[in-house]
Amino acid sequence: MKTPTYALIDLNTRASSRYEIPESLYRRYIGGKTLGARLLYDLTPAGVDPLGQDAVVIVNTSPATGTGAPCSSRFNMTFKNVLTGGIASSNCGGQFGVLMKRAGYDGIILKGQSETPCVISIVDGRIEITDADELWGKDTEETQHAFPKIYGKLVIGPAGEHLVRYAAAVSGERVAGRCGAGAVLGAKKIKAIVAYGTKRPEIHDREKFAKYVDKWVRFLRGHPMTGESLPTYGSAGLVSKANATNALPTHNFKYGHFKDAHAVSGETLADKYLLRNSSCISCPIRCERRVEVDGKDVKGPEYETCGFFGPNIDAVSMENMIRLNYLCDSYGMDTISLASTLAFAMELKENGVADFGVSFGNSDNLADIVGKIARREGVYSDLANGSKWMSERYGGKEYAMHSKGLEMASYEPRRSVGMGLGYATSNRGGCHLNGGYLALLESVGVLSMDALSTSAKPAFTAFFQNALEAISAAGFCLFSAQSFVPAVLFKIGPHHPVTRAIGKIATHLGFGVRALLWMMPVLRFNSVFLFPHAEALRLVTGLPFYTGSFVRLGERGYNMERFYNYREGLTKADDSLPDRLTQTPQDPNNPKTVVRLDKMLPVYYRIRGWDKDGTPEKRTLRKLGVQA
Amino acid sequence: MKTIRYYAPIRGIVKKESEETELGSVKDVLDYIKQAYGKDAFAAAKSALIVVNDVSIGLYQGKKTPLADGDTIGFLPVSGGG
Repeated sequence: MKTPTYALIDLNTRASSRYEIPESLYRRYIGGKTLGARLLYDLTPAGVDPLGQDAVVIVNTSPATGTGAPCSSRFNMTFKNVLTGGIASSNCGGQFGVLMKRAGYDGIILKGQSETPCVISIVDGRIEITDADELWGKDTEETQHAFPKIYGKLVIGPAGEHLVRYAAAVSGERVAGRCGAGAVLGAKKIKAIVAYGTKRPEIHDREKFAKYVDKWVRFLRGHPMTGESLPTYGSAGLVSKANATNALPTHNFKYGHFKDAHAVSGETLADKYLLRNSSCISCPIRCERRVEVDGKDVKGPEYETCGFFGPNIDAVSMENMIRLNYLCDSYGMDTISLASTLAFAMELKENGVADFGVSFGNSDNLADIVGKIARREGVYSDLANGSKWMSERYGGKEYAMHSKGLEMASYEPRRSVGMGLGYATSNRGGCHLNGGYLALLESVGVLSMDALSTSAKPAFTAFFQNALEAISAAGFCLFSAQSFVPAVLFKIGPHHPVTRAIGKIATHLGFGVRALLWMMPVLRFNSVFLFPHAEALRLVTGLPFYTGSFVRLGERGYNMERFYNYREGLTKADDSLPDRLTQTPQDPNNPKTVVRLDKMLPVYYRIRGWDKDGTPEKRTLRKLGVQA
Repeated sequence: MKTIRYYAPIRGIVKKESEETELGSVKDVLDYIKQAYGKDAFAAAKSALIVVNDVSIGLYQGKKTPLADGDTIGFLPVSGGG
């Protein structure tokens, strides 16, 4: 069996060596974020400074990466989370992962710290570390232009250099945005990692795999979500949907509905600014928008960016939003954490606590301020530390909209309480994807479970957290999973009695989903309608992956991440949300519009096999093979 | 006067972005679409996320939701992903 080959790179000595992943580890953790979590746990002692000498950063791929399977050009970064102190994984599309694999390495492990700026070059199996003084200070676009076009690149901008806690790493125009991926590279003085090679990826059964890929691509193209909705409006299409159900964070999550949402919606983006669609390698969905602003052809904003640079700061300028999106990519900063921190600063001003020159309803001056934050100029250095740090410094913890320190995504959990549970329990902090993304079943999809009911939400959350974890570990974009809701429901629509009935029934299916979680080991089937990723992974690796063992892989990864967090000192108290979401009803006339974590967490812990304090029990870790 | 706003995929069938109407409920608008633009447009309208003043009719009275002067009814695609 071919097991993954990583490069171990010591920045202190600028030396590299091959690091073969043991077969037992590969079989259990496969790749991407799950294998990354295991390696990070094993290679670092507890309590390291994420930006310090002893920190380790893992950049890795998965078995499916670069195989030509749909949506399989992803790569992952795992490191100690700069914002939370727990686990961090940041996922990115584009070319870098594919080309690193073609260059002969499934991943790289970065140790130590370079004294001076450097570039790591991985070309046809050969690794070189060279000085990069002339690149230091340049933005991500200029930096990438310094290398041959055919290379895959992963670079940082000024924000990463200045250790902005939510700095991003950028690859092409795709971004490993969350948790401080750019900061951890900046701390090691790595300006860029570039890769190129021509090695074909290993595929166990190439013929069957090719046939399955054809079938899967046809399915995705024929599905209303992946074949029509996402290509037409991109993820930004969600602005109107979230607004329609009062789940669109507005005015720093104070409200869930924005009266001018249309101005910053995916529909307006498509009608007035869209030049064409674009995509990552081997993606049939093509959700990326190419838009024009100031005469420049740039990447269009995703949903989260539209939500946070629009309704969440009461701003209505699409032009400003596109510019800010472009600037954030150029500086290398996460738009979610940055814009949420700005919204927090706006509320500080509104409450007379502090004035950073930002205020709700005005995005005209933000381009200038974003640059100051990226370079940590003066008082703006405080904003570069994120909303948790800001709330500890200035007060206002009840409206600092993060969980564990990571700012939440653009779904108002008081109108999607399962999403609230997901934010609170997500291993990397306030993330919708790591949180199981129940908003899709509660407030922004075709199906509508009762968005205010806590019933069944712990079970659904655990199930989808595991499933999304597995899809990511296998190397696929999570958009490839958007086709799991049957196409027929899109044809009859969200208001049809059948669709509504299914949503209502699902709200009472907690026991069914719990039973499903118990039955995982015996679910030995694969279906293109459910998790086609499992069959693709089986054909690529030759390992017996079926629906059950595939979701179990995700469960193992999720527990591994949780175990890492536990070692780093995160506790039940960190499975929390700001008081605004748990104490103050969004609708003053409807007391149900709060997130009842007190009701959901104990049930969730039980389902997970964790004790009442949220610590994974030994028998759970043994069952999953996380601990002997 | 009320405004009807169309988005993909129904926009591709009715060939317009919006129009004005005096109809009194969501159901009336759906019936109008069927009559004026045919079965395909009606099917697309029924399966859309229907919003009145940007709020889903699921949070009001469904297809019986009344329309008042100045209201906007929109037919949005059911979307996902973020």
